[in-house]
Amino acid sequence: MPLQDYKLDMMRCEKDSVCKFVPLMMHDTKKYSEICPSIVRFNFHTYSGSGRLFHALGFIRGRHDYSDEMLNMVYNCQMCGGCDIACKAVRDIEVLETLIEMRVRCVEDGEIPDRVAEVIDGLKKENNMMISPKADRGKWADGLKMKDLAAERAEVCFHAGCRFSYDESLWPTLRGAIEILQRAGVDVGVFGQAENCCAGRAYEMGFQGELLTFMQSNLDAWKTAGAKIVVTPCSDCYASLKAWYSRFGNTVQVYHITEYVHKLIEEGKLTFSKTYPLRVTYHDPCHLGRLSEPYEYSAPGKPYIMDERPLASVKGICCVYDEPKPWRRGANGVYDQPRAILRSIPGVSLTEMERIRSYAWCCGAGGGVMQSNPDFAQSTARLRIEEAIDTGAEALVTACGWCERNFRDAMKSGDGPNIEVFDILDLVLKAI
Amino acid sequence: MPIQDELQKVVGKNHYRDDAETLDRYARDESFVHPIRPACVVYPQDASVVSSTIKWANETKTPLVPVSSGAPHFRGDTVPSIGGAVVMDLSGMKKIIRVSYREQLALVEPGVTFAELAPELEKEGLRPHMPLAPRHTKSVIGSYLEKEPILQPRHHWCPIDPLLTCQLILGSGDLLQTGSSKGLWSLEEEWKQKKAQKWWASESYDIVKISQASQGSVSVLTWSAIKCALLPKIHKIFFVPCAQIDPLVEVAYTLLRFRWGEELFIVNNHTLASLVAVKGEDIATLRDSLPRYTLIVGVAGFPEFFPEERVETQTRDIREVADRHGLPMVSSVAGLSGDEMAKTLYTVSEGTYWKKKQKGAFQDVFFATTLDYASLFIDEMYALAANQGYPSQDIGVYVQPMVQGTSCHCEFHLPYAPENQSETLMVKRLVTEGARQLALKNAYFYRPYGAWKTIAYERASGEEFAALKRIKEIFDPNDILNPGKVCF
Amino acid sequence: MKSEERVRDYLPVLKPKRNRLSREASDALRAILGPENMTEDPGVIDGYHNYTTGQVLGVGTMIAPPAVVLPGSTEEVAAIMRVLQRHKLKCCPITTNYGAPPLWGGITTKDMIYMDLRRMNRILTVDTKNQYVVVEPYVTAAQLNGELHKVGFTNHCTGPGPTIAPLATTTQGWGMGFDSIFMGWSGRNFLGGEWVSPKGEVIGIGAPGWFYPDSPGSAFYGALRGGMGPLGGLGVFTKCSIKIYPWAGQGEVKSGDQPKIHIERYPDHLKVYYLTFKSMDDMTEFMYMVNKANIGYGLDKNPPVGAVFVMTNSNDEAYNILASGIVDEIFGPPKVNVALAIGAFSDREFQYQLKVIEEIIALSHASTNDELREVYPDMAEQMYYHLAWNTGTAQGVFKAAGTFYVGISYMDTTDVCSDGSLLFGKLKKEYEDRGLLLQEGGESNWAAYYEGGTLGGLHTETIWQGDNSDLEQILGANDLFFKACKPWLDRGLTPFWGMHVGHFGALMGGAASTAYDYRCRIKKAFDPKNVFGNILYALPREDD
Repeated sequence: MPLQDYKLDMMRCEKDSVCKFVPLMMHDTKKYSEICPSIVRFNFHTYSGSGRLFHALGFIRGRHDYSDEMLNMVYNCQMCGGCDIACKAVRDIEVLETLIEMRVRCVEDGEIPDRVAEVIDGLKKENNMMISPKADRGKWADGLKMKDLAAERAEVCFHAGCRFSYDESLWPTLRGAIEILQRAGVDVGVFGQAENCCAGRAYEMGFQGELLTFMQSNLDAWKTAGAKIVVTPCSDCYASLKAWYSRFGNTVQVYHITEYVHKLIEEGKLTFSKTYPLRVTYHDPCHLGRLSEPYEYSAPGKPYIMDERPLASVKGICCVYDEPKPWRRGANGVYDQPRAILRSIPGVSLTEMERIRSYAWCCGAGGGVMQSNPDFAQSTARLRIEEAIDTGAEALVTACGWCERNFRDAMKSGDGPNIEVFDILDLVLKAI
Repeated sequence: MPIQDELQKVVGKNHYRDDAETLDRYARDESFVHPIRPACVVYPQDASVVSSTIKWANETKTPLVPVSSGAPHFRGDTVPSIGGAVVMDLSGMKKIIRVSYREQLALVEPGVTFAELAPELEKEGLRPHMPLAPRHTKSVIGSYLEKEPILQPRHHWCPIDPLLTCQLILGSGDLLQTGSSKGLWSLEEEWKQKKAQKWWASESYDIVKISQASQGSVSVLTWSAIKCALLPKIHKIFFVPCAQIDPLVEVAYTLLRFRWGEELFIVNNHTLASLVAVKGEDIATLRDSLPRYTLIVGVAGFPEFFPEERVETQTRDIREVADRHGLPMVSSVAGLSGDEMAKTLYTVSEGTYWKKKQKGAFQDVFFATTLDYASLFIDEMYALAANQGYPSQDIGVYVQPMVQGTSCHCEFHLPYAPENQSETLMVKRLVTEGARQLALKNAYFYRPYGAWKTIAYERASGEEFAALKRIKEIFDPNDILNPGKVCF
Repeated sequence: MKSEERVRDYLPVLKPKRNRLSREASDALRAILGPENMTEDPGVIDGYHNYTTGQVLGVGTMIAPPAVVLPGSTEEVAAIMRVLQRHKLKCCPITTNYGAPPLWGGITTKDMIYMDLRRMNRILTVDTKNQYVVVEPYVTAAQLNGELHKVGFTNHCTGPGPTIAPLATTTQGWGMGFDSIFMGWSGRNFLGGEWVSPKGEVIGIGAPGWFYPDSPGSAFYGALRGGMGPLGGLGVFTKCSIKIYPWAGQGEVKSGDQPKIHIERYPDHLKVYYLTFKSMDDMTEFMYMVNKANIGYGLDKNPPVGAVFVMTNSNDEAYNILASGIVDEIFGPPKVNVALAIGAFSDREFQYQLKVIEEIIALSHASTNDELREVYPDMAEQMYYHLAWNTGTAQGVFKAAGTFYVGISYMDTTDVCSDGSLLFGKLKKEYEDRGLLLQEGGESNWAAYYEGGTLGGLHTETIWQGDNSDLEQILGANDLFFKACKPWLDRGLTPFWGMHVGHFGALMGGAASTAYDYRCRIKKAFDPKNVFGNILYALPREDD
């Protein structure tokens, strides 16, 4: 939807600053009370959800034009959705959608920071977000015996995602995921080199066209391969398929690998035979959690996104839709399954951080920030690492390749806080 | 026209005096401030005369010294600091304008004393918020303006309590009324509107706060609405005795935090003996029989809503707190019962002021601090006294939590025989140099009488000092109200 | 008016008046702050503009400040003041809340910069013995409570909600809060501070050690605020000591995910009631009884529609309930509704308070609405969170359509405030019936007690929800306000805060103008160049 169609949301913000903090009822310590990495780093109100709404309103009213500083503000945001769910705890306003549409508008007007442009060029040419050759995409699967969905059919498509596919340090997790699925007798295949980016990250950077193009390609490819289910270890891809694809009218039966593994554990198809003593804390990836809620539909193929905004015609009470709108407030993300998995691994004990579930602090990698401003991405990550250390945990566990990479990059210098980082699958693999 | 004629025109012949005996009386008080004779004394009977007097003073640039309580005075604030001043004695303005049980307040003029007000309030089921055993001539408004702490810290929300809407005449001569209506209507009209002057300040500055503790150098209050306490149906005073003050401070902290108890303060044996002894010569004996320190806590049940249960609940809760610190909570100490104590606290005696009973004269040293520093200051004061050779057993200690326990008024009362020159000198040194020593340890002289003025403002920053002077210039541009007091 | 007609961009698309800083001023500020902590970019600056200004037709949004600065220390604030003085610029200090000009601060002239105090966000001291905290400007009530609840304390939160900055409400603003019956009036919780004057002087207010608010003798703080605060119109507080209060909500265990937080275990000594009275008179007597009984931990009279928004989790949910008519049936006029909390610190005290409050409820013939749990299953949780975290205003007032309008707020006795509520309710109904305002039912005033009801009776605020995209409604709201001024005045209702500029001030006339005069003189003495340009505070007098 065009940016100007979010005008009422922009106008209805009353700048109470709720968007900067974890939802009010969940406050614990001051140290961990904030939810917006952008304003924590840059401090100007404009960098918060509210500020971005006012900025967008000023923009559509022609009060200001593009500038480097303005684009800096627009693109220094992980699009983590923290502001969105914090606001929606007390208000009915679409914050994140407005932020995304602002970027879509920037892209439409050709106002794209160089680093972002570089990444998207790579996407267009090489079908990935990693500025890497397309030919190398399937290398992680070398030596693995499984169906090649470019030529064969399988019930389950394992979608590795760009980050996992090109980050060699993450390949053991990928290969381990395949091992788990195959052990459980799942009819699984991969596209390997032919796998396309989900384009979710590109969409969050404002490239709606690319999302639609890649979405269609992926849907076609899955259909051709006969895949009824997509399983992915990448939370970005998960949210993309589940939320963004549904936003544009397509429902995909997608599981995050943690959902699938949890299912296997519950069904008794995956059991643990070893103990792995470790005190851990779990980081909820934004894209597995609050960003993954699908859009509901008012009719088949018709997602109920902001469309018309009639006021209530009876008594003029408040702003509502003709049909009640199903609000996405972040509560229906995947939170419990990873935790259940951790609790079921012998030896592993789980201590929670303060900011968890729908109000988790972002790892810092999302929204194109990792590519366009790695310093900001890593400083955000360091705050999360510190929070993990404060729980007394020995390790920080997550379920997203982007989160894992960003945490590791943030600790490379060795100066700041330091903790061992695992993907949840790594721990599963250690114990099976 | 000579001052006499001018002023008699303003205040009326009967309310003007300049005879030697009167002038001598107002030239001094029982503090150590240097006596200075006023030019005359006037006795306005209502606000309009106060206003006219102040306007006259502005026109003639004559200093005015407002006084609201009757003698004796002890702080030096009623003694002119400059020659040619006119004392404006408001103690004759004695109207109790209104009492309202429903709104739990009274409206009074500046000359109304606690002794006069209490029985009127009692008729309506109320009682005044009392300072500790005020003298018979003490003005209610005077006490509150001077920030004398009240006995019930749970009702002391901020230093300006219990003052509500006030009418004041500024040093400039302008009349201000605080509260929500600003004097747009007469009091009678407001009462018809069901208003009761119950809001305290509707402006973005607080003229009463600026006037408080300024020793009459910013404005003159001509009436004030004041919060009143409910008159209990059941009222019990308990004592928690202890040889040291620190455990009592811990008990006090808990009671203050949970707002248990009405009256709540700590005294040493000397203060307690001085309060209750009938004769001065009995004080020493009584003192020796009393615990070194006593926390005094009152528990009340009000006529509405289960007074017995309220008393029972609070008594047990407070006793548990005392028990946790290994302290007894008793209803009498050394023959002094809670009922007698209650009477002492709420009956204003006409006899000799209790602080003067022992030796005929006294000085106080008092300041604000936090409760956890009380024992440090007590030790310090004893050391200073020992240094001077002043008998430490004669030092009265009174620690009154203020502002719901966020601070406390720490007071040392030092009786002395005025005819005893060496003892007088000792006390004088304690009140001046001793106070300076205490200030160095962060005793906060929030009511800077006499020599404390210099001490207090030495510790304040230059910018604050300058800012306060600017305030004075706004509200009393001709510096006619009690010049030379505070920092102005 | 049809819905599609309401959605209009009523603010003309004008290029705002944008001033630019002179090169010298810009360089001077940058030298103090560094490039990261200052912006002159129009886009970034526009992110500061609050559009919840329907009541005043968005006047502030027509002006764009030339810069936003982010000082990180008192020294930087003082240095900024000196630059502003030298370059004849003005300043609007802001923290977490609204900033909507001109009512709650905000830009009112084109040479005014925003001073965003976000970087000054530390809790410096928590002294639970002496019951105070020392905070910097950007600490929020929620952050403070997060720390304080763990040690058995809490802090007063005014109506705008827990993202308020306690320093700002204590030194600059004011407002009723659900907890005010127990935790008082924000400005009176001040125990000391550090203030930077418009000239850049740094002045410590109150005792060293933060425990006593007044200067020796005459209290300088009295010049900086009274009942009303200066709303950013007179200097900047960079630190503030604030009284804290014992927290009766300990022992709570909660679960679930927002917005559906479930309380598994309620605090031992805290209970919230939602009471309905048959009439304003009954409610009035109830208030007086609560006052005389010396109990009450939270108290909030609110219109039923506000309570519905507080107790539901979406507008749709609220709308369904309201449109069904059940709320009118149960709560509608002449009934009046109050949320009350009792809180105690021992079992026996709690039992005593329960007994007392139930007696008072019976004597005032109030309903406790227990049967409503079928309609509002989350009733108790939401009312409790209203107390604990004061989510109320964001949910109860803004949620309906994004803004609210406020008439005068008055204070004196509960009797007069109750009469005022009824008076305003009648005036407002006319506008509702004409479709010029959102329907709220009842007389729709919010009210609270301070200091157990001993300070100023029942603070009553005429607040009503509004839609700031609807020009007719905005005009209607403004019209109602102006039309109500005279009836208010005739009834003896005046704003408890000094509103002597504009329409009400003109009506009040001479009696109020002397007080305003002195406010202007204070302004002139400390801010002769009008660096802090909030026009609602004061303007320096031309003839001084």
